[in-house]
Amino acid sequence: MRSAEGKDLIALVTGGSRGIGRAVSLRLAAEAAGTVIVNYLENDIEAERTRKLIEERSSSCILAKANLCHVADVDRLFLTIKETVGRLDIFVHCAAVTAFKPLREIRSNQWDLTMNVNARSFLLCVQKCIPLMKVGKIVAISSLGSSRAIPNYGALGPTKAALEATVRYLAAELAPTGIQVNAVSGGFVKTDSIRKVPGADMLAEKTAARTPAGRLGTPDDIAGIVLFLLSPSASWICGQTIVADGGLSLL
Amino acid sequence: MENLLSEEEIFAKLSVILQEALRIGTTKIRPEARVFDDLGAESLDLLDIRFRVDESFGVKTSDEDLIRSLGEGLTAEDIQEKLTVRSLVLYIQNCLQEKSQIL
Repeated sequence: MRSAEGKDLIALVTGGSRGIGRAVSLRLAAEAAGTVIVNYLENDIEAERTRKLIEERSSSCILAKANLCHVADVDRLFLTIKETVGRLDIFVHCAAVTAFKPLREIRSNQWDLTMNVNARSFLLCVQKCIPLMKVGKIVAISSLGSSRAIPNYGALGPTKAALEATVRYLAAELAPTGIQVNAVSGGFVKTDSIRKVPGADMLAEKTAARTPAGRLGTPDDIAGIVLFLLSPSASWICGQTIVADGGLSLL
Repeated sequence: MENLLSEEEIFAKLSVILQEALRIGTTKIRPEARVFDDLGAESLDLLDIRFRVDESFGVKTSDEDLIRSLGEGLTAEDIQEKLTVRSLVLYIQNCLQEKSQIL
């Protein structure tokens, strides 16, 4: 995807320094965005690595360290965007945290934190995006846990359900203004964070065997769908969560 | 002024944070208590505690700095065994000192 004028779009990717967020940042840099603003929480080394990879793709990168749980940090992030680049064309929300454990064992602080990072911060960021987007495209990264009961996924699943509902409401509210909002839901995607799942290796092996496509998803598999949703070809898709899971959810 | 807080004052503020985050009574929170094994924290809780510390003390904590403050050559896994309430207090004190030097 390239804009009609060339690679001149400005994109913000939350959680953009690692995993799916990094894959999205790099695909944006390669195909669409002249400037990629990479938001991250704290891993400076990984963020710098992402910056280098973006620059190798002939795009500029702005690293924006911010804790999206804190409203003041979100305000500062968007003030920086306004002052440095002045507008936004694309926003992709990848930031997420979780504890891999049953929902019945979740403590209230863990519920609040996962909701804040995974779902509330998306809303806060979109509210700040609106004045910076003349027309724009927004994509949130969800997961199958939003609609299915996956073992040890109790902290993440409800936040992704909230995220998908937020996508639908915002899509309906913002479509008349020229801002398109959608989500991508992946199956089991091979990222660093998935290693924290109890019994990760065995689970990965079993999931790959159960997946009709015969393998686990990669961050780039998800990034490809995100880029499609950001492209003009997807302009009639509004408020949808596109499942990209190699067929895992079909069985 | 946050940067002039004594170790005892930091401990008192941190105790409130730990009580609220982990839903535990004040009697469990002693300087030598291990945050994971004795207070029952999990890795997500440590993130929550750090976020609360950032807001409450006006500092910017980081996982890497916290691990480094516990000793050379430690990894993220070591934190579960080594992190005590007192080591967290000392780390916060260090963050406050660094902040006061910047200001």
